[in-house]
Parts: sequence; C-alpha cells; structure tokens
Amino acid sequence: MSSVPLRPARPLGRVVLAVVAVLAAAGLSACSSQAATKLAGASDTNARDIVHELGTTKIGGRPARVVALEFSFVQTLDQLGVTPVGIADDDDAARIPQLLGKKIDYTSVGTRLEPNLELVSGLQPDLIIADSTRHATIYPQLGAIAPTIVLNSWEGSYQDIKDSALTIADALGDRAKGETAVAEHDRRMKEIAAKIPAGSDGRVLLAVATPDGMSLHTSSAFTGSVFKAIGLKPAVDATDTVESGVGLERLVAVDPDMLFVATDGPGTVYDEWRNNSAWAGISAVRSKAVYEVNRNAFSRFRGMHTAEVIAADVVRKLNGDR
Amino acid sequence: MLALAGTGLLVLAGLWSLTVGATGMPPDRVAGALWAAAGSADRGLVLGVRLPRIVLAALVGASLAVAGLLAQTLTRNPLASAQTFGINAGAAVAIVATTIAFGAGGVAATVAAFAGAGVVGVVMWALSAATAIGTVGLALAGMSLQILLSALVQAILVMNNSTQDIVFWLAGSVTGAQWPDVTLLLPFTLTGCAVAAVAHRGFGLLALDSATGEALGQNTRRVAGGAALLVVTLAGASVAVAGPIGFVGLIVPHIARALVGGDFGRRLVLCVVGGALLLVVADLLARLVAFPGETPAGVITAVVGAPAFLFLALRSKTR
Repeated sequence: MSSVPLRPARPLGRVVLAVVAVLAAAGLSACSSQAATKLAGASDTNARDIVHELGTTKIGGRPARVVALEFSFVQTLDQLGVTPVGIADDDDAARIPQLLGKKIDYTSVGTRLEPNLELVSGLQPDLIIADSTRHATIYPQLGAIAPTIVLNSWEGSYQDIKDSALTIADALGDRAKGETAVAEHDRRMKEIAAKIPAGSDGRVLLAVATPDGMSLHTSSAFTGSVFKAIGLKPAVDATDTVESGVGLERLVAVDPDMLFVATDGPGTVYDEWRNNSAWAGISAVRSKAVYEVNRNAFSRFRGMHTAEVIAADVVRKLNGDR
Repeated sequence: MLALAGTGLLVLAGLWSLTVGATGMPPDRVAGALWAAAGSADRGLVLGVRLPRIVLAALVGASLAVAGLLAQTLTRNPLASAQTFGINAGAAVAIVATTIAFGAGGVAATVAAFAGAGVVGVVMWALSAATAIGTVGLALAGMSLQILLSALVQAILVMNNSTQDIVFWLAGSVTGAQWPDVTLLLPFTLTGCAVAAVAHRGFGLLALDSATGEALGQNTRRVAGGAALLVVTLAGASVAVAGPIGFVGLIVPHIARALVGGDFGRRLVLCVVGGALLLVVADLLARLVAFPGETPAGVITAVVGAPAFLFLALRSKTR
C-alpha cells in the first residue's frame, strides 16, 4: 500500500521533464529562427519587420529562394515576378501549370497538409511562406530553416488574399510592385463587375462534390467573398468558411439560383444527385444555371488571378453564355 | 408477437424519419407530399431523398444483424460479427482500392467488396477452426485484422490525398442513400434472409458441436460453408452501399437471444426486424444530434455498441 502514492509521482516527474524538454526545444528553435533572421538582416541595412499571422519576422535584402506551402502564394509570387524554388504541390505536378498557365522549374516539397521539412531545408530557402491553418504547428521548425511568414490562405477570404499579396511583396523587398499588382487587379475586377447584367440578384453557390457528399463554400470562403466583391449574393451566409457533409436535402434547402459544382472528375455524388427527383426542386436546376467546374481552379487555388478567372466565368454565365 | 411489436416500432421510426430533414419540412407537408403530383419539390424530397435513406438503413441493419447472427452461430463465439472479425474492413479496403485505381463505384465496388470480405472471411474461418485460440483470442485476432485493414485504408487515402473526401462513408453512413443503392442491396438482403430462414434448422445445429450435428445427419462442412458465404455476402453488400457500419451485427443477435432464447429461427426473425429498427433509429439520431448538419450513423452505433462489446467481452471471459 505504501508504494501506491509513489507510483503516480514517477510518471508525473517524467511528464514534467518532457514538458520542459519540449519547451526548451521550442525556445531553442525560436532562438535559432531569430538567429537566422538576424543573420539575413545584418548583411542588409534594408531589413524589414514583416507582420504576419503568427508574429513578426525580420527579413533583409531581396529573398530569391522562396518556398511556398500553398497554391495562392505561388500565384502571388508569380505575379510579383518570383519563381519559387520549392512548392507543396500535393505531389501532383499537373497542378502548377494549371495554376500559373505555364511550366516552371521547382522542387516539390510534398503535400500542403504535410510538407516534408527535410526537402524544404535541403532547398536552403531564404524565405518560407506558410499557411496559418495548416502549418501553425510546424512554424518553429520552419522558422529554424529560414525566415518564415505565415498567412491565411486555406481559410482566407478574398480580402485576406489581397492583403497577403502586399505582405509577400513587402517580404520580397518590393512593396511597390505588390501595390501595382493589386491596383491592376482591382481595375480588372471592376471591369468584370461592370458587365453584370442589371437586376442580377440571384444567390450564387460553389459546392465541392466528393464521392461522399458536398461541401458548401459560404460568404466567408474565398469564392463567396469574390462573389460579394463583384456585387453578387453568396447563397450561404456564415462565419465558417465551409459547410461540409452536406446531403441533397440540405442543398435543396439552401436553394441557390446559380450553382457551381466543383469536381475532380466523375465518381462524385453530383453524378447520382442529378438523377434524383429532388434535384429538380433546386432553383438553379429549374433555370438551368448549374455548372460543373474544375475543383482545382474554383476551390484549391486561391489568388488574385483565380478571383478574376472565377468572376469572369460567373459574369459570362450571367450574360447567358454557357 | 415480439417480431410484430418490433415491426410496429420499425414502421413508427420510419414514419418519424420521414419528417426529419435539413429543409425542416413539417409532418403535414410530408403527408401532403405523398399525394402531391409528380414533379413537386416536396414529393421529390420525401420520395427521392428521405424514403430511400430509411429503406436503405433498414436493409443494411437487417443484413448486418443476420450476418452477425450467422457469424456467432458458425464460430460459436458470442463476440463474432462481420465487424469484429474484420470482414467489414476487408470489404472497405477492396472498395477504396478499386475506387481509387479505376474510379468505379456501384456494381464494381460491390464485386470488390465481396472479394475483400471473402478473403478475410476465409482467414477468420481458418482461425476459428483452430480450437486452441479461444473466444476472446479469436475476437482479438479479428480486431487486430480490422485495425490492420483500417490502417491500410488510411494509407491508400493519404497517398491519394483524398482523406477528407469520404469521411462519412468511412465512418459508415446512409446519408447519401439513393434508390440505386437500395436496388443494389435489396436482392442480397432478401436472398440472404430467405436462405437463412429456409436452412434455419441446419444453421441452428451449427451452434452445437459438429459431432452432434453429424449424428443428426448433417453435412456440417457444407452447412458451415453456406453460413460463411452468407456472412460475406450480407456484410460485403452492406459495406458497398453504406460503409463499414459497426456493432449492429454484434449486439442485435444478443438482444434477440435475451428476448427469445437460443432458438436460431426465432432469433433470425428478431434479428431482421431488430437490425432494421436499430439502424433506422441510429440514422434518425444521426440527423438530429447536429441538426441541420449530419453525423455518420456509424458513429451513433459505435457510441451505443462499444460499451456493449466491452460488456460482452467481460462476461464471456468470466464464464
């Protein structure tokens, strides 16, 4: 009996030790990340403090070896004239030419969800751009490899993506270029929005179809906020970006007037639902305003260029050009 | 009498289910929709979305419960079921692999499910024939196999970058049920239940040791083979349309035993009704707990079934 009280003490001691070790490691890597940034900053008087989602990172000079861990960053970098050396391309090389409309030389660093840190480190980058949802937990490790900025891409709205373009331009040492890119983009978006026919007050929805169900992109999601930006109404108004696990009845309840179904190809519920008697109850179906679109272009890619592509497509369809 | 009461409850649960859905259509409008002209939106929802879902839940529930009863009788193991023996997981691996390799669903997926379930079925049958392994040991072997196969499913999905795309199916769900799913499963459920009913005397004898069966003039080998084939067919077809829903096949035969005793024929009837009832109610709860969002019905059956499994495992060890 006497040994019983002692027993929990030992594991507890171990837990404390483990916690201390983890904290120490985190502290160490934070130090080394600061060291890395200081080193870069020391050689350049033009060092900048870049404020991002997880803090402030000091960046000096003009980073040229950039690793991008989300597609939207790749698109922005391309618009700013920088080709990333490493991209988390989901191990699918076909996605980058589709994203940029051209072939570029880069090294894959694995999936966006689980980027391979060894590959990132091997590229000896001088800037890493990571996503606040997917990469917050590996921020210390990334910071130990190179100065890292963390931006909201995965759950980012249209405005977040535009703000990120300026932050990235700033990190690259050429904020003016970013401002020009955003201004030009704003001008093009205005041109697109001007073509919306008068009286277009229908509710627009992007639904991603999987073999299991659909995910509805709300007013807070990238596409939803692009719709809002050009003066259209997203069909689902919510603070959560995505409503997932949606069945046919929920889609009927949402009842969009214009429906974009994003798929990776055949084999999703879209194939089945179209033959269901309830499908005809959706306004968009009755007015023949249902369009199957590419899931990469409408859902996985986010960026100013993607916003223009999506907006132009919607406006073309609103003008009766299928 | 009990079967009649169960059927009554099943009809009630089904009717209640008809009135629950994301559009929040009230019961009077549901009733109206049934008589509405073809092409009306309400009618489309009730007959095209809600009804096939209830029918599919009932069919899957009945199939899994009968498969569980047969597995428990065949192996003389109270912890046996298509799930605990890894047969559901075997079907799931085969479906995920063929779907990703060939992009095919429907009939191809069902054929694959039978193959996957069959392979695991043979392995487990061979293990159960080794008498030294014991009741809990066999269940442990089955669970290990299930964990291994589930990990394999995860590995395939991770490599294909599509883990989040079929979360509901993986947990087991009738959310996306369509009439084609019903017509796919119906012949297997009907045949399976009919064969079990016709051969109930022979299957009942499997519960005794093989010497007794043979003394009574039974070709034990052939009857056992038939039972194993039925388990694989019923479980494989269910997984193909609804994913690996667990615990229905494990607990319903025990509830049936508690109600009517060990007679195979009477338990079979209760398993058909009780399995259907359990899954229809589980699916109703699946729609209500996060309304208007959905929860996979397999999560509900696991929440109810896991404690039941522990209870049975503990009891069979002390006996």
